[in-house]
Amino acid sequence: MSILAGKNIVKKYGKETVLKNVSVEIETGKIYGLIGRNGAGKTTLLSILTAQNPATEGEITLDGKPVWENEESLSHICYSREISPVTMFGPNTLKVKEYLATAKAFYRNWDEAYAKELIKLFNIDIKKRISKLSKGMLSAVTIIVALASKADITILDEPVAGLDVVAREQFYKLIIEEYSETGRTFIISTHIIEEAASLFERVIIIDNGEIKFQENTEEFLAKAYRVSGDTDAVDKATEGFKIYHPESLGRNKVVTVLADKPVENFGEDVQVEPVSLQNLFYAMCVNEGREAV
Amino acid sequence: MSELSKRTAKYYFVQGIKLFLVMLLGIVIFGAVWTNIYLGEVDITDKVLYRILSFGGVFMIMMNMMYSMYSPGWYDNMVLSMGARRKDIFFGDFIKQITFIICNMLLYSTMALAVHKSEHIKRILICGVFALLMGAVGIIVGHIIKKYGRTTFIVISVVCSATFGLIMCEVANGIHLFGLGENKENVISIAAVLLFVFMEYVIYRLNRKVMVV
Repeated sequence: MSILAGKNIVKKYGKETVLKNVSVEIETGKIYGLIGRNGAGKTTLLSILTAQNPATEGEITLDGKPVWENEESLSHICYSREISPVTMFGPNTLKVKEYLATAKAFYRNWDEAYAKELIKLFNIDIKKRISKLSKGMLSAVTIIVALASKADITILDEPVAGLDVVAREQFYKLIIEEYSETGRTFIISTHIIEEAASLFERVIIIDNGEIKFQENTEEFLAKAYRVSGDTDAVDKATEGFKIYHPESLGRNKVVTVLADKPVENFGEDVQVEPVSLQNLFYAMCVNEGREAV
Repeated sequence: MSELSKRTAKYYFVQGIKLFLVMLLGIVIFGAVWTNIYLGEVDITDKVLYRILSFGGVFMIMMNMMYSMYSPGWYDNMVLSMGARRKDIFFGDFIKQITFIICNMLLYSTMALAVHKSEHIKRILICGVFALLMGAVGIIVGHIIKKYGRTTFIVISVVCSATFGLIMCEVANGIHLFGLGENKENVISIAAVLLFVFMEYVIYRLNRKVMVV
């Protein structure tokens, strides 16, 4: 098992600090979900981990060897991101086949047959210019590059943006198939958490330039609960726990609880339900949580 | 040379060839236009080839600068996002330009020899040196545009055009701007090479911390 590690990463753009002393460890052979609000620092973190953006401070290593300008480390990584929209010349003036040919030239494990299969699956016209593609087709091209690269660590930044529901299901199925066959590591950054959550073996939540959580998804959700009932009963049952997004409806109250470990019983006066990853993330974002006493 | 370095070098070499083919198409079009203009004249071949040789050198300088300007935001940005190393991209840009310039120089030199106008070859060589220099200028401008946006492009293009015009005036016959006398072509060529080396150092420094946008 290899580890892609980022230690004490700080990234500043001028006076603004986008990543604040972030440390993250990516173990190979797993599917990671990276979730966070817009502007949380997801793309910046991913681009620094893959040496596409220099960190202001911090160290990024793969199996202890630096990733920056290191051919051996870079050969194991693919970070497929949306093509930058450039209005006056740029990659989007290329045809899809030219863009894929460039990817083939640089990813040493490129699987041309698999790429052709994916082109057919997503129904991409490779003679079309990238600037003429719809947002969904553009996402499909970045997915093709990511999957056909056959890189050991493959990162997809918002891969399903613009994809219709059929294409999104196809994508999830492809990830599972590829993971089952090859054991590749995938890191998927997405806002459509509900659909993708079942894929994630581990989840990393980033907010305001800081990693809030990086845990096994199942274990993480096993500690999250939606507690509802009479206001006094809910307050009593959740005393001492970290709560998010409290909502009051008359005499009733609903809160989302994130405990340090699974809770056996909140008491009989309240109703307890499991929380999905999306609802937990939403609750964490909407209101500041009350810290455990 | 590592595997990745070889792949990067090969990629940029192929891009240099492709750019030359685009340039060749432009020359063919201009050749067709001049042929049409001089149609019916006795020495049409000489006149058309003279036009191509006169124009081609300047065209090569201009096109190399333009292509180089796109590099930081286009080719370099794209291959960096696909795992290329900055060091290899730096050398790759140089390979692309050298390939483009040498192909052009071979074309024009062959034409010059074919029509027994070998006096053009020295001029073609000087244009090659200036194409390298303006290519380096183009890359620096490309980095500035990538970082600061296209607003700076207008200011920089005016300054570069004026500078380029002054240099071309000095290279052309009959205009003495710097009082260098008979050795002006050699002196300016050497100055161009030195300036090119300095600019490549600046480009190397700019390239070291470049990021994918």
